Amino acid sequence: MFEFSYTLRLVMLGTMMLGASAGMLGTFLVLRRQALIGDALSHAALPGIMIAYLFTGVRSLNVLLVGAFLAALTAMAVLELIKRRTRIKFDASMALILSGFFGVGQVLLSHIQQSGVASQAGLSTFIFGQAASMLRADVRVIMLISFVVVVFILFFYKELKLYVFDTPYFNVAMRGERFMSALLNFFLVLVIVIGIRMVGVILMSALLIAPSVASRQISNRLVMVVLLAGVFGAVAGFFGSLASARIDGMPTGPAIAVILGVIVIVLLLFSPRRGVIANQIRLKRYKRLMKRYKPLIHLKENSADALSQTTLNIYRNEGLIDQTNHLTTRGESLIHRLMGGVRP
Amino acid sequence: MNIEILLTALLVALSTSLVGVFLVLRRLSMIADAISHTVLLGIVLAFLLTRDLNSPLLIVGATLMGVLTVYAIELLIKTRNIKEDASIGVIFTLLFAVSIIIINTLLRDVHLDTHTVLLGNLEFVPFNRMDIFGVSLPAAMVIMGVVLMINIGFISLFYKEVKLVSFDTALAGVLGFAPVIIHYAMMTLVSLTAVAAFDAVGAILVIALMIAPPLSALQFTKTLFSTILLSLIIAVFNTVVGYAMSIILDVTISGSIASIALFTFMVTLIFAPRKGILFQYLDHKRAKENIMIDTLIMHIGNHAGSIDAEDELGEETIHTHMRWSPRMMTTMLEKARAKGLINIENNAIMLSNKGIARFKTFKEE
Repeated sequence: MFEFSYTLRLVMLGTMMLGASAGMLGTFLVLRRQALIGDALSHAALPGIMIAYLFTGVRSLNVLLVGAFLAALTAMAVLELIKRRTRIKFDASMALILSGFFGVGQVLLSHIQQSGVASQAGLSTFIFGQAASMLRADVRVIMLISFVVVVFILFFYKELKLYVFDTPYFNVAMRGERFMSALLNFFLVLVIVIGIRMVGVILMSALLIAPSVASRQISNRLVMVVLLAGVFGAVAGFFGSLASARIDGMPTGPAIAVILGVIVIVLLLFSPRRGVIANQIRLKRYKRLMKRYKPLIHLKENSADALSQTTLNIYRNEGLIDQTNHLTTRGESLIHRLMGGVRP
Repeated sequence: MNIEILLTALLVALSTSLVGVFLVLRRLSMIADAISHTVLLGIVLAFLLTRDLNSPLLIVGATLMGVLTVYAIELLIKTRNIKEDASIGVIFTLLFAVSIIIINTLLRDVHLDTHTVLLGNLEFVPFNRMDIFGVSLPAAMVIMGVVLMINIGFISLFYKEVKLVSFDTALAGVLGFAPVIIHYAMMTLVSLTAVAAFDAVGAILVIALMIAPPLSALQFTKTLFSTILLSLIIAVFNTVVGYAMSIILDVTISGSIASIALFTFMVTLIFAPRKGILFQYLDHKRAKENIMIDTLIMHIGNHAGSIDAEDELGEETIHTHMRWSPRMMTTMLEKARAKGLINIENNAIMLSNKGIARFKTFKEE
């Protein structure tokens, strides 16, 4: 089970690096509420791959990726133009760019297939990705880009943090909103371009979005969220490639996406701090306490006349009120806590 | 040219753009994108049950899965631990990945090719036929026709309700129009339309057919009804031109239609009157010029007849006081003179009668 062949080790290394860098970079996208832009850009990269192939006639990965990179940047520019110059809703323009560019890619692909060039086989793998056929050189490109992305995040950590949490203040302090957004988008496109080779255009968004959503359930600190997103991405990459190698017919990209999706849903439900179940338990407990101590809260500003002797006895035994039916310090602090609402 | 293919494509275009108008207005475009991907899981699961690719249960299962997707996304948002966009991204990738895995592991011998799933195959429409009242018609054409009827029927029947929910959900709720029910009914239509269009154009291109015509139409129109009409017209235009292009260039039909849809949108984006980028740019430029000329008139009016008038209003020196570049200054003086607002004599700039009148209106304000 845990003896890895050379190819598998290579694939694992690639998917883990990709998962980590996409997860870390994706954190900033998710915080900016632009999570789906990755989806739009990865689809939009497709025509670039085809055009690069049409122009050069070579199927060298690096050449095609340059094409993908340029096409995704073009899509980015069009999106920015629409955002700045019109009142068209961002989600609508994303959806349109996504499928429109994809359509252009399809036209070019079918044109290439019609012309029947022998070396065109494999161009369509970009739609679903093909991690299993990764070569040493491919992994080297992925490592390089992942490294650059991580360095970018480390180097600009402070600026990125300010930018995603308080863009207006960032503008006042640094005057570089456009530069920062361009830089972030540039690295996003880089990661997408290496990602579509491995997991395909559709599931690329899983790698960008899911890790940080998962890590967000565990921590409230940005640095932890970013690091954990990297860890989740890498873990999903590892087990995704493993599943793909061990189970017959299992594709790598979907395997990674499912692992990430399951991690997100499990954490949404079971995260101790803000998970759905933990929240429910807290709410139940609060309701019970409220029911039990409602008369005590009444006592704070009123006389004890309305309270039954049994209730008063219970409170006295718990040390919440003294012999004269006045609140003790302990009673006061309990009321203060209850009035604060449900707390984690 | 095959008339059956063109007719099917037209039916797809009409039914998708009809629901698309409401998707765009209600900012649900990316939710529709999610639906169009996850219906695949519905098809796959229904197929696992029935083992029949032509079973009507496939359509039912897939439509349900689309609605379920919307529900799941809203459920995640309700936990308040995840925002809408991220929740769309998580749900649709998960469900889509599950369906791809099932296809690749359990259904390897079945004709459910992942490529047709994404791209559709209008070319194959005439091969899968069914008999309706003794007439042999392509199955996809019949299904699309029925879906179009359902869409038209629902929207014309509930036009008022749908309109109100689209533009003011809160008011619709207060008035007792059950916005949640209308919302889910619309989402069922979107899902059904995406499923029906699946065979023909696939999961991704259906989004272009849904979103592009309404977006193009909205560049021109102001009322809901005219938006619907114009997007239907644009949808027909895109389809016919796209089909023609696919024949001439010998390329995929669905891809061509989507490309033309994108192209039409880009043209309207730039050249539409009033809302187009070009028009807005020229408008902005004109407004900027007018303000600059008014500033110039204010300056001249304020300094006319004062002691420093010779320097402040000298043709050579005025730019240092306005703090404009000499080139900009010359252009603006030229424009102001062309409008008959100023006169220049012996290097001294003066307001004309028209200019003085304009200056006085500023003073009064």
